[in-house]
Amino acid sequence: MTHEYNRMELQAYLDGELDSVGMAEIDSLIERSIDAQAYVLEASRSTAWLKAEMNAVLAEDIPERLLETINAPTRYQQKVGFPRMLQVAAAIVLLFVGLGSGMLLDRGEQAIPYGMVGYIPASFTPVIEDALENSLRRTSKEWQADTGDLAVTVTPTMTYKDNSGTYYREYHLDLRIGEERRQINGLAYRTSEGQWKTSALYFNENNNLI
Amino acid sequence: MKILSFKRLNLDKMEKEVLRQELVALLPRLRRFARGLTKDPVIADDLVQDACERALERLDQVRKGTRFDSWMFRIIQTRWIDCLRKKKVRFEHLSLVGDKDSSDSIVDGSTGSPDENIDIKRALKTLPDDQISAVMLVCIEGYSYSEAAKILEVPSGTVASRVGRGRIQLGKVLFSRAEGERNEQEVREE
Repeated sequence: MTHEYNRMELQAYLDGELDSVGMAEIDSLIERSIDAQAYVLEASRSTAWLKAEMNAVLAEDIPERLLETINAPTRYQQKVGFPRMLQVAAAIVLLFVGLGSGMLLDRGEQAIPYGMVGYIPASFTPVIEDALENSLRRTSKEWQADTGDLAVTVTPTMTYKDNSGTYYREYHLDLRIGEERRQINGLAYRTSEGQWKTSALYFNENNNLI
Repeated sequence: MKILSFKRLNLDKMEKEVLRQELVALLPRLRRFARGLTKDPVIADDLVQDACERALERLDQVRKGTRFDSWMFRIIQTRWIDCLRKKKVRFEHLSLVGDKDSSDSIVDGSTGSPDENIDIKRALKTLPDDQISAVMLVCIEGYSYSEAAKILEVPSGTVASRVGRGRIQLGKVLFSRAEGERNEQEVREE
């Protein structure tokens, strides 16, 4: 289909990209051409509707967590005063301690092979669900048992949705059970009742699901 | 629009604080842009948060003459592309929230379009990612083609082309739908 006008010129006209001479030429074209009028009208209406839709976001309250992210000290600032080499050394030590211990959460009768996670203690479930439902990515929730021997920090990392509309979130757990500390990654899905169920846990560097 | 005059690697504490305040003021626009890219309010806020963290770690990389808002939009755009690439590698069986195949989002914070019969969200979901970025920056954020081109790191002509194709696609969805509904209404009235 051919047009008696150049769409790109009309678009540049709408986007304010033409100089005064160009604007005048397009004004003249629009007066003469019904097709050009129709194009400009349709494009203007599409843009106006899109603007109205997207501008609704501007009126929303800013989530507190975003403000906290900006007002909190940056990672760089947090690192000031703590030698980087020491951090690296600590990370390596933790990694080897973690890999070498073999057992994770279960200290009961059922032994869990190295590299696998048997289950998450029920007492951790509320804070995990809370974090998955309410925390933005990289925002942590913490919980500690009254006895002080159990503690967990939950940090959602990524959010996904499958073709059926089920939501999934990856998360990171920083566990402390007695003197033992362990870091685990998990993948949970959101049930139709709004509960988060963990479907996989893994803790190796390749993120292989177990 | 404020033009930053800081030299690279020469920001003192006060200048960084000014940028933090600038970032807070920018949040509504950043959230709007991210909402357009991701088409999902939850993942959009995650994206903005991620971009803010990245920006705060790199405030010293703000160059003289750089528009702070353009710099932030560029970070969001880059992080979103990274996110899409990462998803392809790691979770091929899942769709990142915000993909055009996904259904409506968990939390819908928008108030709807002026005309209830016009489904803007559905129309937006039919646009490829590169066209959405260009349409959002030019039509919503009001950047010129050359400014949007710098943010997207593509030639100005490419921006113009993407905006044009995006507009045509939006029009196709919006007007065919509205036209169809009008026709149905007319049939019912007859």
